[in-house]
Parts: sequence; structure tokens; C-alpha cells
Amino acid sequence: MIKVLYEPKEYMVYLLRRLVMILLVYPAMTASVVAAAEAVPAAEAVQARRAVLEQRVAAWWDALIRQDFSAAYSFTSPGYRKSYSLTAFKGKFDKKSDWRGIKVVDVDFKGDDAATVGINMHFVYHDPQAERDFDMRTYVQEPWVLVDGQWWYLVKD
Amino acid sequence: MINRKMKQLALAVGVALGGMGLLPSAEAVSVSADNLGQVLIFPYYTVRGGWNTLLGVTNTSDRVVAVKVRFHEALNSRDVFDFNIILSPWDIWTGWLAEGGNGPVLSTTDLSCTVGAIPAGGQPFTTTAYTASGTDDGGPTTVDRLREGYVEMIMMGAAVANTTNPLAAGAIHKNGAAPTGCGALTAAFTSPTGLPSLQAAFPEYIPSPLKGTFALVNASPGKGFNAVGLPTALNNFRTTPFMTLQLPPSGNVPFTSSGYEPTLAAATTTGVYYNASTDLPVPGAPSGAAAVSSALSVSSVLNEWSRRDNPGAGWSTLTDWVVTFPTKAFYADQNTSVYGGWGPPGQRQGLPQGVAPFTETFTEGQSCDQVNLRIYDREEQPAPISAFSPWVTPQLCYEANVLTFNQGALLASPNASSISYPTSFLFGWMSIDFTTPLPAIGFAITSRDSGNALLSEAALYDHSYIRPIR
Repeated sequence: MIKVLYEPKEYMVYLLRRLVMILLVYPAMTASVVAAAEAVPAAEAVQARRAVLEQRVAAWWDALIRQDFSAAYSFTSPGYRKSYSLTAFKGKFDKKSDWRGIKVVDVDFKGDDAATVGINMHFVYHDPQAERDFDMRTYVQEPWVLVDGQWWYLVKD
Repeated sequence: MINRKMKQLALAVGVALGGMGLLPSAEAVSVSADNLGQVLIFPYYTVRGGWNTLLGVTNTSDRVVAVKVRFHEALNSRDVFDFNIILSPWDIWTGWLAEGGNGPVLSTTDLSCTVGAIPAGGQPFTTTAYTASGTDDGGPTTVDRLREGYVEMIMMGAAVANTTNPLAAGAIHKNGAAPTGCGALTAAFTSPTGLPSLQAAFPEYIPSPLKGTFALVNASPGKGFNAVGLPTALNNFRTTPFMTLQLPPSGNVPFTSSGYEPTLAAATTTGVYYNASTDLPVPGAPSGAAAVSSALSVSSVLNEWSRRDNPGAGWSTLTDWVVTFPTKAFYADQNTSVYGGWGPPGQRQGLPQGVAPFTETFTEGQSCDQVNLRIYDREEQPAPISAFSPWVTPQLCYEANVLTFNQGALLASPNASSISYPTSFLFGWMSIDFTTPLPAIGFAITSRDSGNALLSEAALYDHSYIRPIR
């Protein structure tokens, strides 16, 4: 025996409601499932992109911390290197800042070919009068650009 | 030296005479010519664009000195962090502000007693002063607002440190270690019933023991700047101590005993400035914020600027000016929360009457005063100003204002006004003329960026001032 849950008229209304629900919700569900499926590789791609950029940032800073300004110069954008010599770069960047390390905190991609990289910069300030070293950490943002498939530090000023 | 002493004597005598018997004594709050004071006002701090701000205060006296330190954000002077330093005789305290990723963080490695204590990882500032209930001033409510401002250090009281005064003597370092009595001092400052013991322990208000320094340091690649300046020091701010607890007001703690006092409105002496053009002291308001405003009152702010690219020499320069109005909140911020310039009705000591000499109250994120700018090159040629961005007419709309020359943005302040003029003008000087004299302090900062590291530097240059003639 079939248990009647609805009167025929009510059942029709129920079916119509279900149909409307399916018509409204299913495409949205389908879209979100598809989007989620697509988001996984998209998120992975962003992660991979970020990893490549972070590697470049770390290498650039490694050169700065070692005071190897020739190596650091090679990380600057092609446009900068066309305009400024290694000597000019050294003059600008060799300021005797006592950098000790960095940590990339965030990366904000600006389209496909630019990014702002937020880093925690660790440096030591040698107070000239107190002969005391201040172990300072500060957050700064650096502009990077993608040219010819490679990330470069953009010297802005 | 003789000339300076003569002027100081003239100041003292002039104040007594100038008041025509209205003044109780020759003591009058004024800007110190000797950079020592009872109050120090550091015109600017910033953690923007890789900048860090170092602050230092020296107790040059043989007394233990309790100092209120208060950080104000730049737009409307809201208190974003305050604490007390208890300096032992001959002691120095230093600390620094850096960007923590979510606003400024105050750090120190100093051993002097502070109430509250600065944690080893640093003390972040908070937005409470403009986000808590009743504090809305129409300005931004973001963390970003904390990133620039100015600092005041106000002597609260002083004490002879000996065995009969163990509470104050507890601030003294023993064998270079942290003061052993800091715990007792902290307990007194943070107990609702601690005020009488503090008042008994710090019964003096001594002449000008505080000396300050500050530095704007930028260690970002390509910068490497260390620009050093001096705060404005005020003499004869008060004649009596003003000890307060490091607690918010509550049922047991009245506002006047809370950590929101003392402020620059707590002056008990007449404000006076020295007018160089007449060689006379000029007395103003008898006490309170208006007295400090009188002491800082100027008609014009003058300084040099340089903004150029010199490819031949291989260097370029940038210049920003800072113009800070350290008493403006008492006129323009009429908010009555504990964080407002006016504070709870009838509670704040030394409030002025009304908005004048400022033009308008702080609403919708600003309070503007129109100014006239005269900009010259080094051969007296006036430069036509083509734009003053973001406003059409030149005006200063904040408590700590930044002006940048031809979009140089050396201090990276998003609140800066940019003065635009033909780029053929490379360097010179400028005068900011106020339509009504205003209490202002500040400096110019210029950087030179060169291919020669020896020529790459940044330096602070104190403003010069023309005082009003009365």
C-alpha cells in the first residue's frame, strides 16, 4: 500500500515547487561545483606563482644582506639596468644598513605582471651616541614586476 | 651667551610688566631656547614607507622624574597610546616605533621603569580612541590612521630619591639593572587608591629637567636614512605637580586623576613668546591650552626646500615639511568622550573657550585652516603655485600636517598636501603665512639620493618662525 503523503492537488504544487527549486538551485550548484573544481588548480597556480616570486625575493635579499651589490643588481628590472650602471646602483643601495633577515608576509598580485610583496625586515640600528644596538623589525612593501617570464625588483625612486 | 641671558632676563621682567599686575610671577610657559623643558613635543612620528621613529628623553636633573608619554594620531590628535616613564636621576630612556604589519609597534630595550610595561615583542597601538562607542569624529576608523602623528612628554612630578622616599627611589637602577622598585611604582600607578602615595612621593615640579631627541630612520634598500631632530621644549609649564594614575576613569577614579591627564592643557602659567622683531616678550593667555598656544603662536612658518633631479651630478632631492598644531584638539575636537579633545563635560583641566584661533571643528575627517604660501627659488624669484592637492586653496586640515614639494612624498604620507609649481624651480625657501596666528611647530626633511653613497643622506631642518606682533 502506498502511503499518500499529499493530496493530488497539493502534490502537484509540491512537484512544481521542486521543479522551480531545481531550476533555480541546480544551475547555481552546478556553477559553484564547477567553480570550486576550477578554483583548486587556480589556487595552486597562485601558490606556485607566489613560491617563484618568494624565491626571487629571498635571493635578492640574500644578496643585500651579504652586501653583494653586484648580485643584488642582477635582480633589478631590465629597464632599470638599461638606465643605471652597477656603479650607480651601488651608490644608491650601499648605505651600510645592517640588514639581518627578512620574511615574506604577504604577496598582492597586481594583474599578471606586477606584485607588491610585504616583508618583515629585520635590521640593526647602531645608535651612534649610546653605542647600543637596536634590534629592529619593520614591515615594508616592495614592488616587483614580471618581465620575460622572470620576476624583478622594481627600483621606484 | 650674554645676549641670550639678557633676553631671558628681559623675558622674565617683560612678562611681569607685560601682565600689568595680572601675572602672579615671572614664571610663564614659553619655548625653551636651550632645548630643556618640563614638556617635550616631538612634532612627528611615522612608520610609513619603511620609516621608523626613534625617541629619546634624558633626565638632566638629580631628581626622580615621572613623565607622561602620549602618542597622538595625526588627523585629530586622538590618544593612540600613552604610558609613564619614571626616570631616575641622570637617566636616559629610548624607544622606537616600527610598522608591525597592522600599525605601529613601540619597542624598547631600555631598563628604565615604565608604567605600563612595554612587552619584549613591542606594544602595538590601538584604534580605540576613534572606534570605541562615542568617539566617532567622522575620520577614518582604520589601523592606517595610527601610522603617523606626534608625541608629547609631560613632566608629572619630581622627587628627591632617598631612603625616606622609597617609592620614588625605587626607580633608581642598581648596578645597571632594571629598577627593583618598579613593581611598587607600577602598583601605585595602577591602583585606584594609589594617588595619595604618588602625590606624596613626587611633591616637586622642578625647572626644565627634560632633554629630548628623535630620529627618523629608514633602512629600506636604497634609502639608508637617519635624520635626527630635537623636540620643542617648554619651560615653566606648571608650578605644581600633576600626578595621575595610569588607569581609565571609573567610579573610584575621577577623570582628572586618570591616565588621560595631564595634557598640554594643564599649564598653570601664562603663555608667552619672544618676538624677535620687537625684542620683547609677548604674554598671552593666563593658563591652560590657550597659554601653550600663546607660547607656540606664530604668524608664519619658514624653511628651505629642494626638489630636483640633477643627472649631471647624478643625484636627486626630495623635501617634505611637517607642520604640527599640538594644541589644536582642545579647540577643534569637541568630542566629549574620554578620547575627545574636550573630554567629558567639565572634566578636562585648562580647556580654551571655542574654536578660535582655529577656523572650524573637526568634522567629516578634517578641520581646515586656510594659509597663504610664498615659495621662492634661491635667487628670490617667486614660483607660481599651479596646484595645491588635494584641496583647491592651500589649507592645513590636520593636527600633524605633511606638505610635499611636487609630489616628492618623502615621508610617504597619504595625508600629505602636494605643492605643485614649475619644475624649473629647483630649490629655495617657502613661507606659510597664517591668516590668524596659530600654535605651530615642525621641521623640513630633505633627502639626497645619489650614485655616490657618501652624498646620499636625509636631514631634518627646524622651521623658523615669525611671531605675531601685538
